[in-house]
Amino acid sequence: MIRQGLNISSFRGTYAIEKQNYFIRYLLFFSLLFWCAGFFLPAFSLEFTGISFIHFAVKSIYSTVCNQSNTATFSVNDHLLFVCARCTGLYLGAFTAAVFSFFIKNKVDLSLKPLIIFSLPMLIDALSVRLNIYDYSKIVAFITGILCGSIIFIYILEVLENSLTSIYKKRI
Amino acid sequence: MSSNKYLPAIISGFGAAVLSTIPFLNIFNCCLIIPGAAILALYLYQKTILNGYPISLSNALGFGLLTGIIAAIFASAFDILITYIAHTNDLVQGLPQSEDFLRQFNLGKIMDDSIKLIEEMASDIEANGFSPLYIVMITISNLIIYSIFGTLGGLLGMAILNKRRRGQF
Repeated sequence: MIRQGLNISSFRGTYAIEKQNYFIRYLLFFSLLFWCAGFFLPAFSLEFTGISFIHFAVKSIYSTVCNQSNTATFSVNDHLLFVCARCTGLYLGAFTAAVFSFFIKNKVDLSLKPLIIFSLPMLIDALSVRLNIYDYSKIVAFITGILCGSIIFIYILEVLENSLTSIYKKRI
Repeated sequence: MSSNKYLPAIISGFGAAVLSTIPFLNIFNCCLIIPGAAILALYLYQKTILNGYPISLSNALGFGLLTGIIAAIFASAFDILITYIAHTNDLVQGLPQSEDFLRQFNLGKIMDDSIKLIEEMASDIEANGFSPLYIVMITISNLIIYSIFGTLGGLLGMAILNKRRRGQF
């Protein structure tokens, strides 16, 4: 009887943890969706996005986290996005990882190796461009950004889920 | 609670503000400066205050947020100061392009009003080196964005530093 009771409470605990993890994933997914939609704003028509001041204000918000250099930014319909190719890669990489995170059922517990392997190309590319070893390429910056952004997202998700799970377990 | 506890966040936040304001340095991996500063703050905190013990979630979030807020305050102050001295900034320099872009769309009175508002802001900066609307805008956007990026940096820092401590390479 007692064992049955324990089983039920552990099932409830597992269910609650799963629910909490899905909540975190949805929260991160929608935050990234919102953020990515923001820098893709110039891709939409101004008639659609509305008041030009909003366009201007959103651009200045993104300017706090990106240099917005014209030569380093992708354009859609002849309009430059609000962030450079590297940042576009970083955010879209994180967004892609957020989408795939819904298909991961197991607990994520990574070592530091994947972080180093996935971030190194971007750091090498950024340094090589700065040191004039080769010219800046939007495609290379974008791809290396995607790799780095996706792995950063996975680590952030892991640390949030694992920490909140251990806090929950301590409580019950 | 000792005030030294917050010193790593203050130092890192200040450093990040300097890096994100100086024209040449801010081109170097723009969006990673604030998360990098939050990671550095946590590293210094773990080394000096925690004596190598693992970082908790609340510490990671708190230090990340604090680093972001301090970086935002200093970055806004530097930006305002540089604008005041130079009587120009990125906004003023980029205004003709923004105007050309916006005028392609005939959106009527609302657009004309908002362009007028931006022009007033730019002319205030050129004349006095100062525009209240610009200061409010830059401070609020820095506070929001840097706080978010600082918090994310704190979480990433917690993952890296705790794994490093466990020898999980």
